[in-house]
Order: sequence, then structure tokens, then C-alpha cells
Amino acid sequence: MREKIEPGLPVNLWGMDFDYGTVLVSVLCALILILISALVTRRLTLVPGKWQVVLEGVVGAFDGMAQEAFGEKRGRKFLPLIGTLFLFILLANVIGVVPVPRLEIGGEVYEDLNGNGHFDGGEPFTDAAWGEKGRRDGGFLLPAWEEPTKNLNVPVGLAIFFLLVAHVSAVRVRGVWSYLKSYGDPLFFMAPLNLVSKLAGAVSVSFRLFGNIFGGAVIMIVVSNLLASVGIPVALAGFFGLFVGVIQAFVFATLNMTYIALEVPETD
Amino acid sequence: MPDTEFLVTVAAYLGAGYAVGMGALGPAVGPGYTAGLAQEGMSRQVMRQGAIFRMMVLGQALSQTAGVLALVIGFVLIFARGGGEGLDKAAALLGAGFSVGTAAVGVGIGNGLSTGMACAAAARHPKHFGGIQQAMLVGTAVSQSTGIYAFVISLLLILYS
Repeated sequence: MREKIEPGLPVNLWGMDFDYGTVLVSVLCALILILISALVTRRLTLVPGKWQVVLEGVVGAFDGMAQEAFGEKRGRKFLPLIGTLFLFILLANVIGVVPVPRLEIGGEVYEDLNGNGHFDGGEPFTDAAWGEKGRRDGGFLLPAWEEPTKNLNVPVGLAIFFLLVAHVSAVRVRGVWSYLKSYGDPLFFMAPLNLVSKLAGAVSVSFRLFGNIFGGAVIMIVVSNLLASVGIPVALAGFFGLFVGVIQAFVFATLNMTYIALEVPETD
Repeated sequence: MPDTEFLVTVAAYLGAGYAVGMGALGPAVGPGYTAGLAQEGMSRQVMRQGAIFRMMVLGQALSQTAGVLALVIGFVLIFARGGGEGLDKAAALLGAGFSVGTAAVGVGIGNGLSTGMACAAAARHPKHFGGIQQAMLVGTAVSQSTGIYAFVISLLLILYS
């Protein structure tokens, strides 16, 4: 359980700050998903094994939902995208439940007397933790083990990507003119309002995910500071980490699917 | 006359309290209404309980959005309101809390009405489940957009005051 909200450790590249903890954990989520899928689908059998049943259930459920939204042929086309989105968000939401301590590898801790963040020589070595006073000379601090979706950039990035998917596939399916005409619906001067309502979906869907995960994390930190060892934090992690995480992943994937389906008309 | 930095803190705390308190009012009434209608529907369509339950959870998550936006503004007001002093900054922070909190009442109740009626409709016509769900999503998205306007204005008030 984390004691306080720690800012990410930004890595400055090309004039932008990258939170490498978020990047590392989300790449790890993707690798775990690839590994699980590869392992489970290595030996497919007609009578499915235990893990095959689980994966088939997930794929089957999203297959049904995609076909309901897009129609039979196009539903299969969008199924990998929507299914992967759900699985990735699901794993990204619940991965914070796994307790991983924040490790510091190598180097020696010294007391940063003048507070400049560098080892100047003459500063005593201590056992103080990484923080206000203790600084590590050399070595490497592992990033905080946090849900990637707790960082607003991840839901916003995904929402922008799916906004692009929706509008690019709308242009490809309906043609440029028919797509542009949908902005003047029902009358041409409604165009600004239509534009806002198309963007509002992406805003609400990303902030819903971020707010739920971030709010849950803050509540867990507050409660575990109030009662350190009563075991209630475990129940809270079950509720905010697992229950809310699964539901918000489902909501995020379903809503993005519906936003695409609204732009792309059903043909068959 | 207290100094203005103190006033800014007072305004931020007032705004955060109002935002999250009002943000609890709407998103509590709305999803509660949805749950009630969904349970009635489940008692009528015993064979379709799973589908109605799924629609209820989706609808409740939708009507809860305004509360989550109020929560985010509350966090920003408490932890990350930025520097600055003066009566105008205090008024901006108070206004941000008022805006998102009051919007959450209407959006939460309105969305709850929409999603609750969708659950009832799905229980009455289980064959048209997909169409009802799509109409529910579009309807709630439209009714939510005003709440999102309030949220955007709140963020602008905090960031650019």
C-alpha cells in the first residue's frame, strides 16, 4: 500500500516529460497479454481446456456485442480492436493490486545536505530512504508500481486514438461528402454543436476512466493511512482495484465501440 | 481583513466541498433509480437477468460520470490549484466548484432517468435489446454534454485565473 501520492519520475526527451513508470507498466501489460494469448492458443482443441474456455468466453462475448453494433461482417473487422482495448484496460486497471515494492538498485544513499540533488563529496552516507533528505548516488530507482490508467495521459491517448478510428473509418465507409454532410445535420448552422458533441464523447470517456481509477487510488491511500493494519485496505483494494477496474474497462470498451458504430452506418 | 492568499485557500476548500457534495446528490439519485427499475425488470424477465444486469451496470457508470468529474475537480482544488492570490482567484476557485457540483445534480438525475427507463424498456421488449442500448448510450451522451461543458469551464477557471 502506498503512503502518499508520488509524482511520476519524468524522463526529459525532445523537450517533453515522459513518465517512464507509466510507459514501463503499460508495455508490461501489453507483453503479459501477448504472452497469455500465445500460451493459451498454442494448442487449441475441439474440447477446450480450462484456459481456452476463459479466452473463448471473452472473445465470444465481444464478438456478439460487435456484431450487434456493426452488423455481421464489419463486426468481425472491429472485434480485434475492441477486444484488445478491453483486455488492455482491464489488465491496466487491476495491475496495481499486485504488491510490488519500490526497489532501488545499486548506488549508495547519502544525505543531501545542501539539497541540490547531487553528491558533492563530504556528505555522509545514511540509511535514509529516497525522499527529502536521502539521495541515491548512482544506481537506479524502479518506477512506482501504479496502474497506467491512473495517469490521465493514457485514457486521453486511447480516447483520441479511438476518435481517429471512428472518423477515419466513417470517411472510408461513407465517403468524404457524406461524412462532412453529417456535421450539418439537421441544419447547417448546427455544425459547431455537432463538432462539440462528437468531441464530448472522447472527453467524458477518458475522464470517467481516469477519475474512477485515480479516485480509488486516493481513497485507498487515505484509508490505509487511517487504519494501517486492520485488513480493510485489502477489501478496499478488492473493491476499487478489481470491481471498479473490471466495470470501467467494460464501460470504456463498450462506449468506444458505440462511438465508432454511431459514425459507421450498419450495412448488412 | 485576512490576507488574500488565505481567502484563496478558503475558496478552494469551499469549492471542493460543494463540488463533491453536490456531485454525490445527482449521481446517487440517478443510478438508484436505474437500479430500482432494473430490479423490477429482472423480476419480470427472469430468463434475461444477466443482460438487464449488464445494462444496469453500464447505465449506472454513465450516470455516475458527473460525480467523477466533480471528484476530479475536488482533487484539483485541494491538491493542485496552483499559486496565485487575490479575490479574483478565490472567486474563480469557488466558481469552479459551484459549476461542476451543480451540473452534477442535473446530469446525474437526468442520466439516471434515461438509463432506468432503458432497463425497463429492455425488460418489456428483450428482443430489441441492442437498439435500446444504443439509444440509451446516445441519449446519455447528449444529456452529459452540459456536464462536460461545466467541467471544462471549471478546469479553465482553475488553470487560467
